Amino acid sequence: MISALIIIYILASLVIGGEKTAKSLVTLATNAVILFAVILLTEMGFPALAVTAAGCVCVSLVTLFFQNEITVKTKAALLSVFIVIAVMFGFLFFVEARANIQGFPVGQFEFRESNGYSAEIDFNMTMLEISVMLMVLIGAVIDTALSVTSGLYEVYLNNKNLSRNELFRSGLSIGKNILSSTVNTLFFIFIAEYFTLFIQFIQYYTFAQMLNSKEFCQQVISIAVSAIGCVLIIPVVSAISSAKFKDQSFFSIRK
Amino acid sequence: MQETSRKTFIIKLIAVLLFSIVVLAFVSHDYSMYSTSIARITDISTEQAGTVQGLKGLNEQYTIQHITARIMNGDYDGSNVSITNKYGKSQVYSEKYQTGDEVFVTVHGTDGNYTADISGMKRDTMVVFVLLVLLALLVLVGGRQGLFTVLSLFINVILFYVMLKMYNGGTNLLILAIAMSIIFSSIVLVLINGWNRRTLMSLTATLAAVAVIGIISSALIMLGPDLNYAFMDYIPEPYTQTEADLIFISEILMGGLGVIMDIAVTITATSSELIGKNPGISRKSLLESCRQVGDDITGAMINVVFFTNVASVMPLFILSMRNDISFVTVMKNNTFFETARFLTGAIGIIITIPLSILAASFFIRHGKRGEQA
Repeated sequence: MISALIIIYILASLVIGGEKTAKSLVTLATNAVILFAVILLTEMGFPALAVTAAGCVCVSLVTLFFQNEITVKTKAALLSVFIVIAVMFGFLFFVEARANIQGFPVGQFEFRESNGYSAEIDFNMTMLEISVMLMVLIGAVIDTALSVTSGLYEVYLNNKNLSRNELFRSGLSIGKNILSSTVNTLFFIFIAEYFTLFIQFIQYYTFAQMLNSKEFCQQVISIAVSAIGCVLIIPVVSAISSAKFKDQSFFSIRK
Repeated sequence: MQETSRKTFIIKLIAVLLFSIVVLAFVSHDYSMYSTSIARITDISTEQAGTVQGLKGLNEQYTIQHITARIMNGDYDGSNVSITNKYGKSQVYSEKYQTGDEVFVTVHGTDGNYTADISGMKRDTMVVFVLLVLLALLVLVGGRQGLFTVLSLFINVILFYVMLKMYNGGTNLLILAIAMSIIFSSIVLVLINGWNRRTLMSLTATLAAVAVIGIISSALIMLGPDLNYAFMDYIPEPYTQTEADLIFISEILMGGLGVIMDIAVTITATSSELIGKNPGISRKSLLESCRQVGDDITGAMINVVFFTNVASVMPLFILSMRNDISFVTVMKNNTFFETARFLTGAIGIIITIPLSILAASFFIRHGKRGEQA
């Protein structure tokens, strides 16, 4: 079934999509390889967070610079993605430390010692959980950054006399318009991914049990964190893009 | 003008902060709402418990925590209990606790000498905290649209709950999933754009695209060999092949819905803009422009669907590979459903573009003719 879907996907990209859609096949393949590399390197014992950070940088570079070419827009997007990822790092540390959502919850009954998954793996699952949340959010954050900065660039081209402040405001307003779609995209992927889990909740759990269970918290926190990243990047990318478009230098933002 | 907008922002900020603090204060002191005993950890002393060698010969360091905790509710309210907790350094199944953590416990023993077993951690405060951060940001950054987003999420959660209840009550899952796709997308699209022709176009395109991926995946499931649902996470046991198939198809429909709506809204907005600016636009140039826009957003959207669906399998890979299960085996078995959902989502993204253009040109031309007549 997977191979049939892959064939349909590739054919659809080539026949229906244009040049960039075809290019996105390469981007996707590269990103998949990056994700695999992150998994393999972490498994070999390299520090999870360092590997993930490097992975996020590679994914951003490929998605922004290869898929969309190096322009003032993608540079602004890249810088904002880095800033947001750095901020999220701190936030995730705090959340993970307080919520203890690493490892495998009891609800995932197939992953137990009795099934050959021994717990003696000498591996820091806590750091890994932070890595997972970062990898989940990276795609969505890049997408939001790119949409805002592209839209803003069109605005700038059509009204070159707009002040930086006005540009910033228009970036925010573009962001507001895509916000709803992005959050909904994440929401529906989330309920689809954990549909079976929710069936179990409704059958066997009380609301309080669900709210406090590790399986629920892992998923809800992870998806909420992605959405937080997407909202957070809107002002960041608007500020950086408006500065960059105006005088082509981010550092003058302080003047 | 700028002054006032800054002022309203500050007022909003204060309102949101106050609201969040009140909710958090409530959730972090909701002990009396639980019937299970809750203990707050006040002191921990640790003791090394040696190392255990796993299946692959890896050494795992175990530690025992001697915990003193105070019961916060119920019959034992205010009394101190001692708890022992053993955890492995990796924390695959076990958990390490810190002072200040709150845990659900079962209390044993007699007065003055209580012991307890931990049945789970109290995580509600943290979940609510993260959700509040999200809601606060949505309202502060998104303004009115942010508020609408919160509203649509809220309605969708309730609908999803109703759907699960009805499924539990025996309603056919596929019928539910189809009905819900229609209701979900109508609500979201109306909240985004209001009730107008453009919304109707986006809705038609969305439902058509969801139908196409639904049909493709059902056909593949029926024609292909039986899928092995043992690897589907959290599947409720016992299940029959047909039940599991229906669950899987529903997942595919729901999973594609959000991203398909996103694309449909963008494309129909572009095409109505183009047709509005130049009513005589040829079908060919309309198609070309919309294809261009579609082409620009496809790559990034496919990435969103990829990482959101697939990245969560990382811990599973690590656990399996450290237990001598090869990368390829994990990929073949355990990531099957994630990959399938990602691929159907990606196909959905691509086919939504021509479907939206079709819907747009159909609706607008017919509308125009109607008005002229």
